[in-house]
Amino acid sequence: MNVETERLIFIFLGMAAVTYFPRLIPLVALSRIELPRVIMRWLAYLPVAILSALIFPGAIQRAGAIDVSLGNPGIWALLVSFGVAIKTRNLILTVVVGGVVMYLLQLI
Amino acid sequence: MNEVKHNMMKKAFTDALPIILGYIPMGAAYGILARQSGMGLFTAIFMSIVVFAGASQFIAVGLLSGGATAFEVVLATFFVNLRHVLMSASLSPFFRKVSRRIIPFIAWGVTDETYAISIGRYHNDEVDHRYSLILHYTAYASWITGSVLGALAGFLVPAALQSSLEFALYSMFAGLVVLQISDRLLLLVAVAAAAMSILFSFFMGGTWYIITASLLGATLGLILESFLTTEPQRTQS
Repeated sequence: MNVETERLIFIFLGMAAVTYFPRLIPLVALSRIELPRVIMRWLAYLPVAILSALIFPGAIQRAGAIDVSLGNPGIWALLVSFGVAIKTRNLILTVVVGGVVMYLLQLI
Repeated sequence: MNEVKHNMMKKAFTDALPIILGYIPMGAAYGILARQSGMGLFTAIFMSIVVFAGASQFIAVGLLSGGATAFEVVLATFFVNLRHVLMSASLSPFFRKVSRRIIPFIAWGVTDETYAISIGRYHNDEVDHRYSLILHYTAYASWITGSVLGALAGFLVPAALQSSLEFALYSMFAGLVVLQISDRLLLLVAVAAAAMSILFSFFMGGTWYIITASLLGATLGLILESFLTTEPQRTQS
């Protein structure tokens, strides 16, 4: 194994540790204690907040920058996805339609 | 196999489908990029096996080809993946009765996508840790498969198809958030978190804008809840 490969392996193991521990520690620590009611209620609002923050601005970015022009297919595909989800409450259909709209918009 | 268990496993596999469809092309894109940057075949695949975190792997490849130090790469990875603390914390109440030996295996697979899918299931369905194990390791396997295909064969999906499959993960998040919004207060939390995340993305690095917007969004929900006495108080589990 050459020096460069050895260095990369060392870096990846470091990356693995700093990725894994934030995933591990809350699960280990918090699943073993009875959380105060206020924290439980706060946690109940967290999923919606996280999902929203993952969608925006990620879905409307192009090449790392927010693009609100009409030529950004992501905006339309996202709008259609929300529409299908609200109308049908069907996750698979939402994913398929969103992906297809995104695909078609890039062809035209 | 009893029916409840059978249904749960079926749910896990069907829920994993959109993740598989997104992870394989994304993993392949990573594999190709890593090889193009001059990384060896084994080394490129090794990163996917030990790290399992899409965005930070792309960033690492970019940083490494720009000559970054080990410390810089590890630090950037830490900050980009710190958001999983919130997801792990949010999942934790559902693993009260799960053995300490199993939790580390579940934790390994907490990604944006597996979290987004499973949190809704835990809130609304009868699922337990076996559901998470199947979902997480199916996702992990597809991430590695994609990486191997990209690194080994230069497996490349046409650009339009690639970006559509990756975008479908956002459609998945959109569908999931809609399913989670069951009243006006939750809608308000969603809109506020989205607005804050967009705003913060202009001046916060890493994924701090996601973390901060999520924290503040959930806090806003909690504060408003105590004002709106007509709203039923929400609890997990």
